[in-house]
Amino acid sequence: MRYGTKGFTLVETIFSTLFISLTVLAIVNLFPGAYMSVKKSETRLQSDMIAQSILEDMRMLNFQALTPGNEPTYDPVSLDGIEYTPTVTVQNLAGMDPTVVKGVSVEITYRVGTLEQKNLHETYLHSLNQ
Amino acid sequence: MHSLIKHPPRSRGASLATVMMVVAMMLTLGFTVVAIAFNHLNLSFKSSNQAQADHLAEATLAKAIDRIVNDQEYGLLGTSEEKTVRITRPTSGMFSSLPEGSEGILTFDQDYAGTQGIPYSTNNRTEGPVIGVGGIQVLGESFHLVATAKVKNCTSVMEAIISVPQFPFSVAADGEIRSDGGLLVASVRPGVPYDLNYPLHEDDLRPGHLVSNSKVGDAAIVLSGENKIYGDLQSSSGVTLETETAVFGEVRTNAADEQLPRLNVEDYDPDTDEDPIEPNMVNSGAGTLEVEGYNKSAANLTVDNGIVLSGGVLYVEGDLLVSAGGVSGKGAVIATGNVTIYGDGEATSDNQAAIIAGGNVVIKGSSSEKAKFAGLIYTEGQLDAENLRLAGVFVAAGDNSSVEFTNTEVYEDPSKSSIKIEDAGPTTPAGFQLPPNLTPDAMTFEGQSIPMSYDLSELEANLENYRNPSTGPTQPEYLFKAQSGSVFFTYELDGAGGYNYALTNGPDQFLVDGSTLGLELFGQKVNSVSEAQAVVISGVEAMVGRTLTTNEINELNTNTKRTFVSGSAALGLAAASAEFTIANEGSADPTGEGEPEEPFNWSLDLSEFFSDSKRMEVVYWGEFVQ
Repeated sequence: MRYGTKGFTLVETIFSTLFISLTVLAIVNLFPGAYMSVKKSETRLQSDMIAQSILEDMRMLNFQALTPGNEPTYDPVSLDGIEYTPTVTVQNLAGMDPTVVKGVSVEITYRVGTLEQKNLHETYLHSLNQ
Repeated sequence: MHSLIKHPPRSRGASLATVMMVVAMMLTLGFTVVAIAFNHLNLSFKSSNQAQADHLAEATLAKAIDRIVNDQEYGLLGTSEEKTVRITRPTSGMFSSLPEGSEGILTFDQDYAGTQGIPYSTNNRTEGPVIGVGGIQVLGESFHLVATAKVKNCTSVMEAIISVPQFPFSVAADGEIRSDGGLLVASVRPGVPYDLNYPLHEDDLRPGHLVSNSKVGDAAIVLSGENKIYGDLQSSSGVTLETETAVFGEVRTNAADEQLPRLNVEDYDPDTDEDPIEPNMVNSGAGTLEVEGYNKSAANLTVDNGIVLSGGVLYVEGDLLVSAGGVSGKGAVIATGNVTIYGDGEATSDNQAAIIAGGNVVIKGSSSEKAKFAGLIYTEGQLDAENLRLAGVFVAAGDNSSVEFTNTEVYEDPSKSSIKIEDAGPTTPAGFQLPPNLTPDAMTFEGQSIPMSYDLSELEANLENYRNPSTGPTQPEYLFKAQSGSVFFTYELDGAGGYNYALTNGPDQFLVDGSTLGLELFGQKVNSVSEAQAVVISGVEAMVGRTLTTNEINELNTNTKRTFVSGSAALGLAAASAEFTIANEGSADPTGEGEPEEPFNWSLDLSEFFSDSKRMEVVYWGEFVQ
């Protein structure tokens, strides 16, 4: 009878198992980071869209009624289990006529996992009829 | 036994290769997932940066609007920096959260724009069009603003066209506005000739705005039935709109009051004028009333078959009733009391009339034949318009004013908000003669004249080549065209003595070229725009003894082109031929041998009641496409 002509040796089996396990472990470790990246990008895009829609809405409002301290309020928006809370700020701009141009900031606050994220969109609005 | 079982030869290392393959596949899968995830993240950041760049570009446009609202000459004079609007990332406050190096720029300086590789903006407060960046035509009394913003590796270029119309509204009232249906409010695309016998085509319509200062809540503006408002609806209190009513602009409620023009009707009495004119006294009677010069009725006036204004003014002390035939032509009808007009009248884009009433105005056509009117209607009382097609503006100013529409179309034509009548007395002799004061627009550089001359004799001799083959009451008598690139500027002359111009594409037999004009610059005959520009540049360089800067060359090229295609040449011809037309057809004294009439001037311009900033409006806002 001859030995060693078929099957794996113990050493081969141990080595293979170890190697595959380490690889699987390394790859599995990448997944949470990748998942968070995808989630972060998705939530950022969602918050961009919410901010832009609020800015669009503000362009439709009576310009002269938009004054610092008298900003419109917007309810939080829930999408895919994440709550986005908008905060709007209107400000008069140094060196510019507040009856013609005002600064508007829309900040969207939300949480991805335990991390609080903020997305700020700013622009100037003008009073001319369109 | 053992010898009966056959084993394949042992493949040494096969197990390792298998393991390596499995590992490689798993690694590939893992890294693909990670790469996709980070790519996704990058894309989302890029999208976010692009949105921030768009906001920054829009903010730069808004900052430029602040400049031009406060200084309509902004961008025309000054240093490069003075002609440039810039928003840079500050250390605190707005835009401080943007990445380092983010910036928004808008400049009116062509040289600076060239060095920065960005498009420039144009301030055109002249009456005619000019060519802006990328060959875009910037109409008269308007601004073309182009802002470029950079945030990280994202760039946004946004443009806005700001127009300064003479009057900002189609319909404006201090009191309520009500429609029982069939109301259409829009404005006419600039330069479009129209004939009010037909509704204007949708492609020729632009936003026209309706405003009420009434404080009676939702009854301030009530639009029942089917109505179409192509612009904004603005109320100082509320509005009531039925579902069939379409408003294509914004609906603004609780808006601030608009200050409407207030005219004192009695100021237009020729007898109380600072420089009194002896008016022709008119009385009620049958037939059509033709109004030339200054006319006055000392009592209520009734006209049976329409009023035709031939550059005249009719002042009525009391009420005016036009029982049929309507009002048409160029001139003004002023009444201290009520004005009531029935009948369709004729109204094309060259008509320009004003109806000014201290009392109420009623203007009615029939359901089968709408009344037509081109001009301005101003009342201090109630305005009742039924089955009417109006090209112009409605103004109902006063504490007791209100407006009621039934089946009425209002096409705002801002040019109708001002009217100027100048009657110099004797008419031009018959025949085609150039007016003695017709000279080409002078071109200068640094105060020195650019030698230029025209010889229109060839054109004069061949005038019939330009006669419009189409005939009819709405057809122009002559057509001249001048080419700029692929665009033809058309000058149409008609029997009423005016000229219009429109833009059309395609070849045309009525083209007026340099050869026909006999145009000479620096003593050299030129036949095309490019030839004219080359001659002017080389001539000016020789004249001043130095090489011109890019900015100077661009400015000279623009002026040369304007002079060549749409300036003094074609307009001069149009003016000359218009006088010819008046002399032959439009005047009561075609020979010019009659008694000279007493000259008089009369004008009304509603734009004087508004500041430029109040009249400014955005006609286009969006991504810049070259």
